Amino acid sequence: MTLITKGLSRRSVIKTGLAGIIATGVAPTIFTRGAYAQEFCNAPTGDTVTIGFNMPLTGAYADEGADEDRAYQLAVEHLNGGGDGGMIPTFSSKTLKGNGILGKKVVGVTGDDQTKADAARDSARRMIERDGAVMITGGSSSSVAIAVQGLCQEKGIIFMAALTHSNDTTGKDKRRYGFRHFFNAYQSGIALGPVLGEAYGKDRVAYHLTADYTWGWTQEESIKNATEALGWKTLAPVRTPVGAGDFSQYLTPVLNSGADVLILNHYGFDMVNSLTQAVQFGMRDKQANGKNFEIVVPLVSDLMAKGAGSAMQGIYGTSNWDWQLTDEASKAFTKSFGAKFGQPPSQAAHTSYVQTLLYADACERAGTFYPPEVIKALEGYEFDGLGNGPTLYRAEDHQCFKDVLVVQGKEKPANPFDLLQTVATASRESVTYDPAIFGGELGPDTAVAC
Amino acid sequence: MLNVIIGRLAPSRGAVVFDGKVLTGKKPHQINQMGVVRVFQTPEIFPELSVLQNVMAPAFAKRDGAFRINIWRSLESERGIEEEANHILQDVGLYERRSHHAGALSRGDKRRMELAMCLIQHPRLLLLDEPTAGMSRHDTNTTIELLKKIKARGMTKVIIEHDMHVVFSLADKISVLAGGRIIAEGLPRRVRRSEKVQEAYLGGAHRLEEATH
Amino acid sequence: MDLFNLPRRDWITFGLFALVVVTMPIWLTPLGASYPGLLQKFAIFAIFAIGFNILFGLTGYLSFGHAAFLGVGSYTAVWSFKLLTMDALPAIMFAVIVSGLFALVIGYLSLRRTGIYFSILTLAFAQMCYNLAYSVLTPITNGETSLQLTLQDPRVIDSALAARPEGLPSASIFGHVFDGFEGFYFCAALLLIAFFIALKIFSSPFGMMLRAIKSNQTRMNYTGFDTKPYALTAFVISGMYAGLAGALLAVTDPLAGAERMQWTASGEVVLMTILGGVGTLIGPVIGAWLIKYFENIFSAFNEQVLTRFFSFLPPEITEPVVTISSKFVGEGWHLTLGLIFVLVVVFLPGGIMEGVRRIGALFRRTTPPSAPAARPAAPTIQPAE
Repeated sequence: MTLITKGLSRRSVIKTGLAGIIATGVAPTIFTRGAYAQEFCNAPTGDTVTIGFNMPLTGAYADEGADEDRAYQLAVEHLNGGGDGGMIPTFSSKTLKGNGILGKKVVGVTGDDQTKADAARDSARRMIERDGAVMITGGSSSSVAIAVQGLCQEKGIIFMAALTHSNDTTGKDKRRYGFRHFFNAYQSGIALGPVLGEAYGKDRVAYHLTADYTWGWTQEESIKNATEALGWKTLAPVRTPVGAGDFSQYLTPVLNSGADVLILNHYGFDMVNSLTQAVQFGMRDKQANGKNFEIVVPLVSDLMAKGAGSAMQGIYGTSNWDWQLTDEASKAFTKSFGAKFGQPPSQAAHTSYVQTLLYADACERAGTFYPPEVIKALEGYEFDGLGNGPTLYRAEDHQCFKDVLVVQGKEKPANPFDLLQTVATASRESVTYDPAIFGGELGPDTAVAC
Repeated sequence: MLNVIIGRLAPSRGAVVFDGKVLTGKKPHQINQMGVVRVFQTPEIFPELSVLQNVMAPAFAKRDGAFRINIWRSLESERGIEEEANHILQDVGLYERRSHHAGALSRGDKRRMELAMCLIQHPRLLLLDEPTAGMSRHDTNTTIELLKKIKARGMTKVIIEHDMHVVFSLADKISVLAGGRIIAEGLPRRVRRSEKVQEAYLGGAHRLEEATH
Repeated sequence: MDLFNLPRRDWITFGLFALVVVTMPIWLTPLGASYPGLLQKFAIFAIFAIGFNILFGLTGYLSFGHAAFLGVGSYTAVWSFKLLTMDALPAIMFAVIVSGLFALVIGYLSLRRTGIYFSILTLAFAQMCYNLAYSVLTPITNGETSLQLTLQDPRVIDSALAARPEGLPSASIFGHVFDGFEGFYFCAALLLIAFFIALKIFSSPFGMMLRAIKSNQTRMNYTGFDTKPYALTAFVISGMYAGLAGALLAVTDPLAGAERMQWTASGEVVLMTILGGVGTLIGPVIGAWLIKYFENIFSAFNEQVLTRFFSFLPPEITEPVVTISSKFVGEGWHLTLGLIFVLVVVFLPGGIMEGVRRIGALFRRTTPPSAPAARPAAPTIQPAE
């Protein structure tokens, strides 16, 4: 039991004291929670502010989760004035001084979301209700992001989504309290379409293998729309469960289907497995309809490229960010991440780090942690110097708009981390769309007491 | 034969009729509900329950039928059934051990308890399969006394038994089976005098079997 | 009155249990688990485990698919929220009824077999339900993405009674919206009701019949009992308990995901029951609390917490100690739980409750071993024959 008692947070200690009062029968528990005179949930009262990092430490996306974890450690360090400050000096907003947020030292609490909606909400509730987190960030699956975003809306806690690429996150399931820096599947389609058309021609038949949840569905739809605009045909898509491990049963029918392009709407270990298995099946050496058989992975990351190894070479996809970008901000971030962890950051790490900084900055600009004010500071915010060039946090759907990178697996990597090369950049204007196309409603920004 | 009566085995031909009703093809619990109850050769009991509960369970079957969701009253408040069970446990001499785990009883005690489980249902036909097999002489005698007592209450019993001492102490009517056939039937003293029985019982059974083939 | 007809001993059990449950927010505080989210889970999974134990503990039929009923309960409750009203009571009622119907069908088919074949049948049915929810019935279940409330939901009863509020509504009871601790007390009240019903069943002749089925099903048949409806009733009751738990999950957090029905979730309740003590009243509850505690608290420990904890050690020892122990917390919580489970099953085959009994026996050596009949120790875990 001592193990647990020692692990108590400050807040729990206060609660223990309260429990003593309760035990004497002075007040039932439910009435004591107003004792802080909070005007909103988890208003930081001491000299620290708690942020909840909720990421997959187990499951199909665990690699991404581990990298997010690193990024959060780095962000906390930089916000508190440690290290070289990373992207804080390059960030166009100059409010962050390395003295925490609004003068309060940043403390991080972590949780494993297990890439499951239930577990993610459990973990987020623990951080909100027990640890007193004023903001939750993380996640590397859109279903988790949507589930946690819904919870945060209910609890009046701001959610800065990390890795989530589904159109629904800022589309039909968008929430006033949820913000996404990462790009989405629709933008991938816009960016990837012209490159695919140029590389593989206008007369192709595509076969989709799709992760069976919101992200897979919307990516499949977006890529289908983009490629059909080129003149491609699309066969009936095949849905695969997340974390399937073995994809051979789904890959076997592909070659006899009449398709000549395989589009893998998979992510994390799923993508690593399906791509590797497809290449092992010899798909890339085959001919179909008189053309070379090709594989496309619309969303790729360094971590996946590393996992897939040589199978990734020459494969096209899109990325939110790449550590080999040459702008000052990307260089600064890669340098400080590399110095601390001995490896370059992935796009998951980048977006997690950036989201934490953006939240801190919004609080500084709002001059308060009061969520409705912080939300106003983020909505419609135009910034630069965080690695993606000029970026807009659109007020209508809380989606960031910035350039999208089209990348290709390198044929001859110069080092173990040199896996992807940027072959094209889709401009921010070209990937901007009307928020009305996805529907959804943000809902109110009213603060919630907890 | 008992297995056929209680519905465990199907007869190769013919039918079992009891009290004008056909038993063949009925399910074991239906046959029991018609009043035909059996004691097995190897005790069939509920080892995890207490002795008292073992004896109470059949009483519920008698009172409530084959199925009833009876959760309103607690077991303790079923006084009537408990008293009856206690009474019968006194009869079979297990009253002092009524709260013991049934599984922990000796084999002889288990058989006596099983007998109690059958008696509490006041069967119209009680089938006993070698009720004293494997018992010590003392236990056998206690059991005989017990069965005599029950007999006095007027209940039809069929006993299958190799031990002639037991058979002749209890039976009103004896059928001797050898090789699947009845070789003698009737009052005890007539059966005792039957040559065929004496031959069969003295080890000539297989010879007789060969003859019938 | 027959409804409250319970032996004195059971009333004492109930009183103590109620006291422990109601004071959970207090005694869990030093354990770092006193926050509404987890407290609610404690109450809900205790209901799930109690219900499972009515089937497994009493009749010995080991169902490997009970999470299906949990999931059905959740989906039903969320749909009740979406279509009718945010009031918790109709949601719970529908969930219990619908999961009871599911249990009736699945139980009727599965109970045609016994032992391992029964377990495999239930597992197969549960996997079917999971796959249906995961992909086939996506319009109803929203698949992997999970079913959530939306602003566009009709909510016909609520809309008829009052103007639509801005934003997503929360579950309520007679118009009163729960906050965290009220949500817990609501679940706790239902837990106490569920526990009381379990007490009634355990102490009733019906409960004895179920135990007798576990003990010797053949004997039951020759004693004049039709065992199939008994087992089916137990199956349906425990399915309804699971449905109630599922509904409460949705009431406290209006979301239903397919992963709730996965076989791992079914396995979890088996673990809870065995860990706590099969066939005992309190055991499954303790098992449920332990597993949920590990899942939520141990999994959140990280190296910083450990370093703080071991800071009293000399620095050169601290680091290896932290490194080793960090394997058992955080992501390694499964490992710790697995170890505890192995230890309990090997040394205390009757679960934690057997440990409690043994300790109790040490204190009263002089008194003879109490009557095992009322609460059998269930020393062996075996499916019904």
